[in-house]
Amino acid sequence: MFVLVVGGGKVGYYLSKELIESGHEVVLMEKDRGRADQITDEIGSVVVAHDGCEGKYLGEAGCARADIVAAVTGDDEDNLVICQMAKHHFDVRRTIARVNNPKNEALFRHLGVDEIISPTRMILASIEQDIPVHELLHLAALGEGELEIIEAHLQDGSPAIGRAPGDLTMPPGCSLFAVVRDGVATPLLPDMTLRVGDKVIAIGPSDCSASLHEQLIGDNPEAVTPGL
Amino acid sequence: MKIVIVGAGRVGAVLAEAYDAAGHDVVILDQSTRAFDRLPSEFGGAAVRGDGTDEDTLRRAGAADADVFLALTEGDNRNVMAAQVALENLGLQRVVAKINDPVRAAAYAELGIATICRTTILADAVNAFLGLASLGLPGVIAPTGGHHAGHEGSHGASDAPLAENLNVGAAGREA
Amino acid sequence: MSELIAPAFRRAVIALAGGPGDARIVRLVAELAKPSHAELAAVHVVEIGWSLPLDADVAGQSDRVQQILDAAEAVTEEMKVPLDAVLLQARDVGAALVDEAMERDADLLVLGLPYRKRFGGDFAIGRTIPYVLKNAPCAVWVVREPKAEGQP
Repeated sequence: MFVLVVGGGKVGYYLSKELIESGHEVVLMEKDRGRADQITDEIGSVVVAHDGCEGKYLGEAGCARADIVAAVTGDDEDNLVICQMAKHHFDVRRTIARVNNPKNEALFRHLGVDEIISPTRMILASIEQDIPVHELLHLAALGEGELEIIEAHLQDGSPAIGRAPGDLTMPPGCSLFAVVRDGVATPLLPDMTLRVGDKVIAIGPSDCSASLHEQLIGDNPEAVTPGL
Repeated sequence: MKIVIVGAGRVGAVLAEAYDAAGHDVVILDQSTRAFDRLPSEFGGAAVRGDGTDEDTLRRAGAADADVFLALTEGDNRNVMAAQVALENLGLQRVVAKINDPVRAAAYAELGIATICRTTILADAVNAFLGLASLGLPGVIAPTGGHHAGHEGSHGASDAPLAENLNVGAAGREA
Repeated sequence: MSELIAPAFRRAVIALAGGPGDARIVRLVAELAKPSHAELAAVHVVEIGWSLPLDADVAGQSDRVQQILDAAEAVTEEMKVPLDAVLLQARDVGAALVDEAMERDADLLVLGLPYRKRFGGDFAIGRTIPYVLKNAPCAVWVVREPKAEGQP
């Protein structure tokens, strides 16, 4: 596979290095000449010392025949433009952008970036997993970001305890599809009984959180996670 | 008219002053408060410090009901992104981005954003002054399609008000 | 010149730039190689831009590339010194030359440096020679060519 990586910071550097080690053809664009030379010294002549936001240089770096373009600079706006130029100007099939501001994720997805990597979101998710959360946990966004996979950790006080999934009123377009009980994931059957400690996995439109919260978490005021 | 300007550089500040003087409702944003020194003391519009590519900041600044949105910072990519936030997230119609790289300007016009390219405008102005032929590249480019978010099928759809966007470009030139 | 002591090299790689200086360098190295029967290889590197795959048939399409190799061979044939003239396609000339020297276990790499000035008038050494000087495992000779007729 031919991968064009734009941005020679830590992410771009290690990404290129790993890709080369696993046998892919890689070109890395880094506009800072000094940094570009430094990377060349370390991983070989795969570096193009030009700005990947400029259409002309993207072309010279082989964008038109790239299977994947990964924009991993530290600036969201640059990553967006790189992916859009790749997609629309060079017909690259798959574009990946690093997004620093989590609020930009939906916009990027909407504007045609195929894959969004958000370090901020990942760390946030990791922190949320470590906190005894009574809230809903947003695990992943699907498609254009309109659908989400959501986890609800059932606690005392949840209106769903002791009831069967089939008896719960789900918001439109939203369904419960799995339960994690004692570390084992099983498909959710309509007649099983939900218990304290169950983690229920739901899929639905991203605006269904409020009614999911009502059905699965309840309105226990103490359920508000401290510190968040 | 409510006019939102992102970037209080020379062009942004000059336009903000002119539109304000002409009685329009002007909001100007910049990340640096020092940039607002370019505005005259009698400027009656709102000057907001903040990131013009951030949707929340734009909403707080009151950009959601703007009639015209001008992205005029020094960074082409910041302008591209601010313009797309305005079009897609705020649902604004008349959006113009300053894009000084002619290649990028043409590419984004194709994606449905009205673009102004200072590079070609200046080069043509110099050539006109010297009596030489123009470069032949447009300095103000009306969008050639409705803004399409990158999904197949919507390319070239002209449901966005092209003529209105074109007028904004022309107004920018006159001011 | 008759007192010149031939430096000891067993295997030399000569970089062919494709210019008028090639014949001069090949002759020089061949003369020095002859008494000790050192092995000679001449390499012409065709740089392939990133917009094409590395194995794109670029060099094979070009008569010029073959002429460059033929010209070098003509020089050594006349001198009755064997020469292995090869063509390489690479992303970067410097890196390709260094790799070739390593692969052949050469103890000498010879490059020509045409006299050139960059815009603004400074002497231009280019990218390849500094790279080779820095990275080659063996001895490196750089032969700067004379100024061309009428060159400032």
